[in-house]
Amino acid sequence: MKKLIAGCFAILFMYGVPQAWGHEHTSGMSMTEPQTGSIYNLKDTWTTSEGKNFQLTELAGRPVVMSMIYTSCKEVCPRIVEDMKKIERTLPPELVGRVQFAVFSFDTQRDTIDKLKEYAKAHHIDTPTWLIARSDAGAIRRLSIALGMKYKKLRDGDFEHDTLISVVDQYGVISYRVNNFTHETDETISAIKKMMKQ
Amino acid sequence: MIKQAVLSVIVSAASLVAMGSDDLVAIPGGSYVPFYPQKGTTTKTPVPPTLVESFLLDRDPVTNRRYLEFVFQHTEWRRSSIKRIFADSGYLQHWNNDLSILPEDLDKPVVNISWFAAEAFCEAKQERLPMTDEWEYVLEDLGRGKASRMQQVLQWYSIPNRELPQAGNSPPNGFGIRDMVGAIWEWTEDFNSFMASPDSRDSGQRNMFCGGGSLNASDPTDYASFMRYSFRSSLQGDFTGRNLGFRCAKDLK
Repeated sequence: MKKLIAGCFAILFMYGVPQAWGHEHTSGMSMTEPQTGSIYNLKDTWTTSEGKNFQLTELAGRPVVMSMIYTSCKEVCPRIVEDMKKIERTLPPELVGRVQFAVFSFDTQRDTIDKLKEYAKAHHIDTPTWLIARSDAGAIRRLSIALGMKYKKLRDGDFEHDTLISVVDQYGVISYRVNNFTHETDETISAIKKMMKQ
Repeated sequence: MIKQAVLSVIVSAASLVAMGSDDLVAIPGGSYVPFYPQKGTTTKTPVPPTLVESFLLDRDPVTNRRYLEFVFQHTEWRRSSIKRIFADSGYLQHWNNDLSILPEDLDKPVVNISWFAAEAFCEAKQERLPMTDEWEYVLEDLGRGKASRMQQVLQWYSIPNRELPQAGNSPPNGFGIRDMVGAIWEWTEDFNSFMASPDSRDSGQRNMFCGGGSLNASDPTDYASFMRYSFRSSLQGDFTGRNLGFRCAKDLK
């Protein structure tokens, strides 16, 4: 029964309220209890580059392509973001604007809201389908572990980390993961298509 | 109210034999040579020591008794209500049900615990899990009794699924900490921080224990450390195991 109700909410959100997350909307989905295997059970508060506080569960209702980066990272992180942008560019027309892209910062010290904003602008991800967010060390550790992303803070303040990109479905359940730059976006796209059909 | 009574009966049944303590012990800061160097160091230079600041650490691993008190108050961490994202189906499988456990197990280290559960327990006490560097520093014990410890570790690792001893069973090490070896494997806060290859962030390659990875070890004869780092790197946050438990730490302020 619970599943059925959650499903109805999801359908409502997928087809009834198709505007981007960055816009105002009623958060009916976040009122329901997330599925037991959902990363939306993480209750930490994150802050976007616009200074807006949110919990992950507010992303529910549409697939989210997500990864973790830090903005002073010179080589790997821009490639992760480029890879995610490539996924967005290759979305079939019917999915354009209906998939959320989210990057979460490892760097509690240097990645201020202003830094995130600057980064979003420089990388042209300051659009409604994207968000870049920061939080405290505990929230970062919990999300990285829920996603299965390895990282280590180095002495110079930089981070060593995976290149993992995860796709969670409309309920926050991890449905697809890719951890290298050699993959074709086709597979990611078909994974997203599949979860949109459910 | 009824549940309260049941719990107190369960707890009092074995209170006379309570062994594991919930004392935090102050660990003076220092340095140790990590098994793997940080990024940027090569095999040509000696592995530089890692500094560890003073902190507090549980004298003993957390026991079933202490964990039972935790789930009594924090119902979302009971076996029947745990979210699947936070623990696999092995979570607390050695308990009879949500709030009952064999009296002889009460003072054994709690096992079948996921990282998320261990972390929630420590956080509820305004504590945290020890960092891997802190844990390894305490195990290394400033080099005291190194040869015998390595033997002890290997001997213990070689016996699979042995019956767990009571917590606090082993003699304290030089820091006054017990059971670092010989009882259970323990979660660390940053168990997911292990990157064997210094190039891993550039190449995305994982050569954990073959070829290049093993050449970077500070002591390639330290098989016990290979096993420990290998085990940690194989874990996911929801994993549980019948020999996997934890203890808490705290910043010294």
